[in-house]
Amino acid sequence: MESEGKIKLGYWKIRGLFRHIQYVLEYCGVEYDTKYYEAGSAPDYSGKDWFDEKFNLGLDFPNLPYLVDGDFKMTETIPIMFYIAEKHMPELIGETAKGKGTIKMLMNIIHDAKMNISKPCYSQDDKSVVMEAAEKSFEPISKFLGDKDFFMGDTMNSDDSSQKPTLPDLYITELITLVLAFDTEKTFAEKFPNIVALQKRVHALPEIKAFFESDRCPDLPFFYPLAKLHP
Amino acid sequence: MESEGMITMGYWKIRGLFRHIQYVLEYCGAEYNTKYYEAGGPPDFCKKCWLDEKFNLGLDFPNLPYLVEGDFKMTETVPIVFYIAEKYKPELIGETVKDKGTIKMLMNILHDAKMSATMPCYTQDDKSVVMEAAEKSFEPISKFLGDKDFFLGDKPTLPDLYIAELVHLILAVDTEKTFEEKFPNIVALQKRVDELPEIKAFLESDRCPDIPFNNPYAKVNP
Repeated sequence: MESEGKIKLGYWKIRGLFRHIQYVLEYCGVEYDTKYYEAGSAPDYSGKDWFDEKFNLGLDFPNLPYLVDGDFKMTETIPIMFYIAEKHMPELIGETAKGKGTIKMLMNIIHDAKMNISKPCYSQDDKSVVMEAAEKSFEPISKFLGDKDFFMGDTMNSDDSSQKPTLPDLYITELITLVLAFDTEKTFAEKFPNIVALQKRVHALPEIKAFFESDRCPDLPFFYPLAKLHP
Repeated sequence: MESEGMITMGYWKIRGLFRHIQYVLEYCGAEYNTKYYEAGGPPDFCKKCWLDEKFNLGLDFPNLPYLVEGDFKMTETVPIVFYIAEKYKPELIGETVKDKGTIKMLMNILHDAKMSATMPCYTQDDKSVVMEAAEKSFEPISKFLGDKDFFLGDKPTLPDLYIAELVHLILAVDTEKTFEEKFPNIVALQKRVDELPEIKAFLESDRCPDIPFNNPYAKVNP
């Protein structure tokens, strides 16, 4: 192994983008420590805890989340997930050129969906705006999933035709949980039953089930305290 | 090879995100056709030529640019360049787990820099706003490059090919030459990439037409 010792991740003390990464870490069976940064107190939530350290950690592009693995350091959420998967469970990122290409495209699409759904929560307080963004984003995602168990559940990705989770399945689950937390009218659940079924299927994976029952899955808010809308 | 036949790319008839992809296609020696979509002129800047086809091409997430290779279709710019590299010249995406991680991180950072510099070209007409965004983005990028020939040392990888076109755009906006003074290593990198034999040949070919950087409805369009 190129870098020895436990991986260390750093993030705000919220679910945010970090819970998405934890799904990947946990499914890969990776041991990790987390440095949680406190937002600070109302009304400023200055994040001083992070900003005091930000430029002193040897990060080339300082940001949260960050990953430290021995002498290797990186930032950027999706690249972090790919790094973890590539090192610990490469089949998560695809086995053929087509499969790898499709997985990278899906990860981009899901990340855009996450951003389109989260950003309005920081800039305004009308839940229907968030739900509209969610339904618009998930329309083609739900169509792509169809009646497969997992996104890459057809034979394009492997000679083995059994349904297997890959990185996009692990990444999307936390986003579905966020949307369902807003979806008090259950319109999203009615419109995209295959998406809700995917979330349940990922939650039932033994590694994920064990994660939920562990102390590595604390009860934290989805968003930074400055958000105007919280589920 | 899994998908036979030439790659077909689709994009607006501008340099935009496509010229970035062409650097990778050309360096990899991949053969490709291009379907160019031309947005109309003022005042409507009609996008009908693309919108008429957008949902009829069998794309799961219809957008420009798109790539079609045999029965395989995809969208999303950075995934597209990774697909091309992974298939035709895998050393471009890194040979160790650490290098692969660093390259993916750099590609994210560079794509964000591209978006930060390009979006103000569409939303307002003050060139100094574009230059401010560019300088902010390039500070850590220039520091990372340092005095290396390429981002990961002495051989080009994907981020080197991707960044060159963005530097062209910034230098075209930068009439005061402040960017070149501030980041000489970045400008040197762009020249170094443009001198690679495959890129030099491309720049002299008819696959590299003289078209605008941005769509006609952009307010800043060097």
